[in-house]
Amino acid sequence: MRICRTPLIWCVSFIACFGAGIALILACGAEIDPYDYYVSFFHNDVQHQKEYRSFYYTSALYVYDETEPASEAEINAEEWSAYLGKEVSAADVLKAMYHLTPKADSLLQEGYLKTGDKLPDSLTNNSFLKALKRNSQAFKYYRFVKGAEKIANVASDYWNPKPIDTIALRVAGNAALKTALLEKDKFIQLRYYYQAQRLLHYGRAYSEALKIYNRYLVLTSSKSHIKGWSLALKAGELRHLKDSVQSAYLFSKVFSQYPERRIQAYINYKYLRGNNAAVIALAANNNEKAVIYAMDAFGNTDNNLQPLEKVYEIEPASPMVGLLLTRELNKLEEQFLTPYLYKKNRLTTANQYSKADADKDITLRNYMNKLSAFCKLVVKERKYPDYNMGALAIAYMAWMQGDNAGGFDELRTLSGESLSPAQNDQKQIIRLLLSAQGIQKLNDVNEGQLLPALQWLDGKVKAENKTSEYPYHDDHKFTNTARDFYQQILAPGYLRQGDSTRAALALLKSGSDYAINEFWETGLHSIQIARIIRWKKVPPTVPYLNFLVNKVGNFKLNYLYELLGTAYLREHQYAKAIIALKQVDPVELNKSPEDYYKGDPFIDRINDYPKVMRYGKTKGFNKLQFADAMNDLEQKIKTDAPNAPSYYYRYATGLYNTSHYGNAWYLISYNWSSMDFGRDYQYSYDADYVKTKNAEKYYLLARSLSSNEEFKAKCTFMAAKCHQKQLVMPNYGMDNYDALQKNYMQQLKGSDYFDELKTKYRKTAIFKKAVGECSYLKDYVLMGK
Amino acid sequence: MRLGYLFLIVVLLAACKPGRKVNTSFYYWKTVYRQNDTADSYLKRLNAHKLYVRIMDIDMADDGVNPIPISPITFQNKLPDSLQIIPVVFIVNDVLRNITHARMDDLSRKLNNFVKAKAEQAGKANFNELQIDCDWTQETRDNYFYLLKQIKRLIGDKQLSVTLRLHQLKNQKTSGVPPADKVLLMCYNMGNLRKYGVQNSIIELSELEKYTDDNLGTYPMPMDIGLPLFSWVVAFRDKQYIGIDKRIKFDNLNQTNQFASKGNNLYTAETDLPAYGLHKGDEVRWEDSDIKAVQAAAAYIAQYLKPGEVNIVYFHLDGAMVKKYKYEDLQNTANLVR
Repeated sequence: MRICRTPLIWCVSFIACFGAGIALILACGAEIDPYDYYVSFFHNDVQHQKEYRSFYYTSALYVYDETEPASEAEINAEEWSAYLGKEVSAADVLKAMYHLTPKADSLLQEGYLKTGDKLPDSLTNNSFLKALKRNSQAFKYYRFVKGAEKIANVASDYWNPKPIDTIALRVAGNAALKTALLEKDKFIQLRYYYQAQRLLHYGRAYSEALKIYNRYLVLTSSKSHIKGWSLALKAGELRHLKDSVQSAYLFSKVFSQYPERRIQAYINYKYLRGNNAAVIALAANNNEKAVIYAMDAFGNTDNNLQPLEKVYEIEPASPMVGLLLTRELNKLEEQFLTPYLYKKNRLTTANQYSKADADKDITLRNYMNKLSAFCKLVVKERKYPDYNMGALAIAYMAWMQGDNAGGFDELRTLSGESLSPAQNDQKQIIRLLLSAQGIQKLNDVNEGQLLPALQWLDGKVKAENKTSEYPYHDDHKFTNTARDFYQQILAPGYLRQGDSTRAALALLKSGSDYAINEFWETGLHSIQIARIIRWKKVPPTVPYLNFLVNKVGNFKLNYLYELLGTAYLREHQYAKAIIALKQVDPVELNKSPEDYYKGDPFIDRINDYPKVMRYGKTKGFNKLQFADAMNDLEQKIKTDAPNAPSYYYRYATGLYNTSHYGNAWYLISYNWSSMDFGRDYQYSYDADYVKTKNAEKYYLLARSLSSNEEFKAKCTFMAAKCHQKQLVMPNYGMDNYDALQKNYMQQLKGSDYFDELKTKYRKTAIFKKAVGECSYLKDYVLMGK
Repeated sequence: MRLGYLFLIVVLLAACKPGRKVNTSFYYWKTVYRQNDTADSYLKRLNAHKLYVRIMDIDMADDGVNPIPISPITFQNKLPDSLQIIPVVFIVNDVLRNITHARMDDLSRKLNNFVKAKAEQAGKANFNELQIDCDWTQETRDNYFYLLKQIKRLIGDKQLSVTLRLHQLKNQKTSGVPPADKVLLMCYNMGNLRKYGVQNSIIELSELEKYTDDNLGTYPMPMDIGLPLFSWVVAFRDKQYIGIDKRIKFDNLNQTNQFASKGNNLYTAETDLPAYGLHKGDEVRWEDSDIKAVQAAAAYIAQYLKPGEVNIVYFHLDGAMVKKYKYEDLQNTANLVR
């Protein structure tokens, strides 16, 4: 029983720790930015359809923007201002109608409106309220509406158990109707009818409310938006009265004609999920049908050409054509382009995961062909006023599919066309993408050719970031385009041709945090960092390089020399590391990690855990101190041959402790993650950081030079520890994870070094100590009994 | 003749067991209370004096911090004088995951005030029992029990009852025993709803037996019994659960232009059915609360119940649903427990 217990406990602890690690990583994943979660070069606002921006594509939100494209309050205020005359400003109407403070509201209702007292001080100069004095009907209406607010505009308090006062609402609604019937002023009368319908509607007297619309409101010839709001009420009444088809149809009309109620109408329409064919059958004309087809398509995250074709077929001039087309392109970016780039650019995409799906890839390529064919028709027929959108889309899809010639051909067709500024920008972006894609190997010549377009993009980014006001969450289109271009296109291009320096500079231009947090701190060798430092000090004269380097100015030399020193530590060039690290301000050098986490890298242990950072009151090492110590050992190995074994042992221990498993990993790595345990090679310094290969080498060298059995046993045990780290732990989620994990566990317990310890060094004290403390060795020894 | 045998069995059972007082009652689980003649006749014929009325659900607001009432009930009519109200509040388990004691103190006060106001709207100045319904788990247990204690403190002499799901009965060690005056064992929703197949997830004796036995007799608190009187359709796409579709009635399944029977209780959509949110080829499983299954469950539980008074509460009082059941059958179900 005892034999099983230790490995069992170890296994449970091990699995629990790593299971927890995985769970934490999954649980801690950041929420995606719904406006920036896929690689996009085709700007969704290229047509500036702000009236419909709520229906731009994002699969992460119900609607792209929940703000109605127009303000009902402002529209109403404008109508009142026009009705009452020039001296009444819409702003004053807006204030009196919608934005009174509770105090002013109370004073107004209890004084001016009730007893005819003077206006509250804050409203003395309100032109709307002053005008009411001269218009008794308007005054009475305003007083009525203010009175009804108490029951109609109940503040939302979830924990107030009092139900809506439907009786009072109905009484008020009927009172409004009675007044409306006697009212001669058409402007006021329309509003009383609307109030009657609204109050009865809120009072859940849907049939009565509907009658008011059908008998009175529908007959008025006014162009007031009140008619739209009452139409929206009617649509809701029909829904309550179970006529979902008619209700959905009316909501589609509200959607189309009244932007101030567009999102509300859309949500209601979608909620109804009615019989779409029956709703279409009610449409009075092709424009209405086109809107219904488009509304059905909004919210759909699947590629779907059918609604677009349908809308174009029946109403080719509908603004829905461009809107739906852009949505389809953005979907392709999300579902085709992004996974394609992430898969291709693993090194520069912060390991963003996207599952490759060959079947989907073919389906989406076929879909692009169909969409391109449709776009060709749009361009050819010119029935859609903004038909150039078709050519832009074709060129962009050609780029996505790697058809550069096709893409450029399509862009050439736009040369004689009149494009909007935004479309011109889009054309420039597509041209840049095609140009970059056409370059087999970046060199001085083609880099120079790219430069004007990149400078243009830089200018766009700067202009965008100069804007101090941010009306929307997604107003950094060019910034994101530049980021994605440098990160997904240019940097991977340089990496493919082995130019990490330019790749690093391109990533820096991207502005992505990843550029600094990952690539700069994991992917650069000393020679590259030294070159960058030279360029920082003396900027290159070649215009392209000069452009690419310009963001290095943001880095301080302290940082760059620290980076350089770290690279030398990783490369075991300790003398050079000393020179580089001496360039760094000592305060900066000691800043990270805090002293508490600094370890003595020359402490050797049977078990890695629990970690011993330091003994007694000694201090941990910073990078310069470590470089000094390692350099010193290298010198002593050369000059003090008799003691070389112990110097090699100490040198090996220094290397071991800079690994993931040691107490001074920070000396060669900027990050530590539980996921680094037993992982495969990823970075150039992983031979030390993950695999501890050099430590093993020097432990063996130390052993080979010594004749002391205890020392040799110790070296052998430490080499066994290093060897264990070279095994790759299977990733949870692999298809054959269970079998791989079982094999991994077996490998952990079996090692030639253990065999040597058992056969050659069985009698040493270190062997006995190790068997007592190391469960693997203990298991190995016990298994062999 | 058959009734005669049943009577004999009941008499024999009564002879073997200490007598129990069994009251029959119903849950009212709609968001608007309206008096309904069918429902009223069942209450009257079954001599029901209590109605367990769902007052609200409580879920976390979008801010993730403040619990709020969801779809509280409104009363179009007051409850008849002959009926006592037992307010029931369903608390979504997630509410209890990350909540401070201070917020639970606040919640208990708000809940109590809200329930009292709603009872008044139902024409009941007072009530004798408040029931809290929550599918609490080991993770939320401590918070839930703390909340129950706060509620009990506020309602004073009134009884606090809580619903008990079968898994909570079975796993008493992890689920704990709630600090309440009594529990109501929910003998429904016991199978795997999401699993494709012909099983009935609402009620199945074999499933019930997996969870109960001596746990019933030894549960350290008086226990009422909840039994199902409802049916629904469970929808699957590619044999994966996609939801419960309450819009589909049993008669719809027999419309051959819409559904094809696959035998047992499974049906396949013959065409796209947007009104039900189904695609062609989707499969649905009809599940109901067959009276035989309900009675078998009642008889099985009765053998373990402690002597004393017990309430049989049917879920739920819906005129259209309940009229499928005969008064006598429901009465006999109560008799099986006596």
